[in-house]
Amino acid sequence: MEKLDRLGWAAGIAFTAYGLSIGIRVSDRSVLEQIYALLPPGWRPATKPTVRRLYSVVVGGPTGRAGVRRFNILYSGAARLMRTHDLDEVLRHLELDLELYIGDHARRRTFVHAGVVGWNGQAIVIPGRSFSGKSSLVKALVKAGASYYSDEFAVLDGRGRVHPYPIPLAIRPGPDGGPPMKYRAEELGDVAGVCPLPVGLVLITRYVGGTRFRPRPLSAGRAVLELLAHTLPARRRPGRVLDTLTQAVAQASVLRGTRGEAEETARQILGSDLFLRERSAPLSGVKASVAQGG
Amino acid sequence: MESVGPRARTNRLVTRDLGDELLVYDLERHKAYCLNQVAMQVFRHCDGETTIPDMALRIGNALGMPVHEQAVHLGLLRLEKAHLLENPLHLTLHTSRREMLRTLGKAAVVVVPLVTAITVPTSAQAQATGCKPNGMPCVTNSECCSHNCTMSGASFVCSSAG
Repeated sequence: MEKLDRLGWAAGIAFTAYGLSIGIRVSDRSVLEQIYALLPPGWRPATKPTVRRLYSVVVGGPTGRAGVRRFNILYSGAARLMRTHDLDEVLRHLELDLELYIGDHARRRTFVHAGVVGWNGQAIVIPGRSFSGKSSLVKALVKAGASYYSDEFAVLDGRGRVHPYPIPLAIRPGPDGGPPMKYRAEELGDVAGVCPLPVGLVLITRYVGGTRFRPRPLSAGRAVLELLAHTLPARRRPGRVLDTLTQAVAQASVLRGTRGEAEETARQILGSDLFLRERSAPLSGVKASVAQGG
Repeated sequence: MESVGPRARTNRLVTRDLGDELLVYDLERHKAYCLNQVAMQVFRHCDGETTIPDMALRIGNALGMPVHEQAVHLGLLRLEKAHLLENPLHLTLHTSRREMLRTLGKAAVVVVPLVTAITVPTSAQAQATGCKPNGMPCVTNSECCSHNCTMSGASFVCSSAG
């Protein structure tokens, strides 16, 4: 780390997000603007000089010698995360590692990989991995009038309410690959949500061409398992995560099924009484026990 | 004294009781289970002393409906498979699991014990980050946005499908 510290650092940012203090230093001031765009929603400049995690970005490029290029290198602490000639790749990796670190270590929030929109004072949470069609459905729901909360994470507090994490929506162009197109909520005709919302509907779905959306209700326990499969700190804090997820689904309808086109599904969801019809009685007297040892 | 009945595991488990379901997190294997009402009752009655016929009777009383011994058998097998029992079962089954399910299914669907399991992902797996664009080196198809990892020269790279 000392060797790294001795390199010439041109500029840096120290910020806090979700109770974590993070620093990023760069060897070339010109990339700082791009790095600001990668910071998580709600970040604030740090007030203390020390940070819990420090990223270092060494910017490469052409040297004085013909045909010789320096690598762009990304470090987290003393560990090298990436070395490449493509600076965009380094920045993309930095963004992902920041998300992973914050999602895994945030003190009072539980990060679930999911798309979220707000509708009638409740949140619709769509957990899912990449390529499940999550972002397309979020985009269609926002276009149909729902407010945008997140394309990436359902950020849950201890009461199971969802907080906004409004990063720009990333829609992949198609099966032939290429970088995703990014949209702001405003571009889709609505503004991003601001207040935390109770979860009204958990939708476990994926796109299958040519199918109709005919979801079936799922029990609260099965719903917690489905969410757990997409929860970042699930292994790190299983007890707290189970409590949060149980709270989140306590008042929610939980539906599962494949879907067809996003626009049609969005109209079906927002235009129906799925919330009320499938709503189960709130869970009362949730008992907990932890047995460790042996 | 040697126990006569099956005994539920208690060490290194985190449980949450949802009323008619039980969530169990295995801290050793990082697996999570959802036990339906019948499986939960079987799990609860695995105290090392209660025999299977007694268990069927008690669970039947708790649920307010008759519970077949074969349902308890099936529940125990499923709990054992999920590593939620302390001692290995030595059950002599006269029927196959499929046959058992068929018999239980005829009686009533609600008395079938269900244990749903997932392997809890690491944070990186849960984040399920983006895919690799065309031209990036790859090993499997799933790494690529195009789902197409093909040979290019001496190495494999993501490329357009078809």
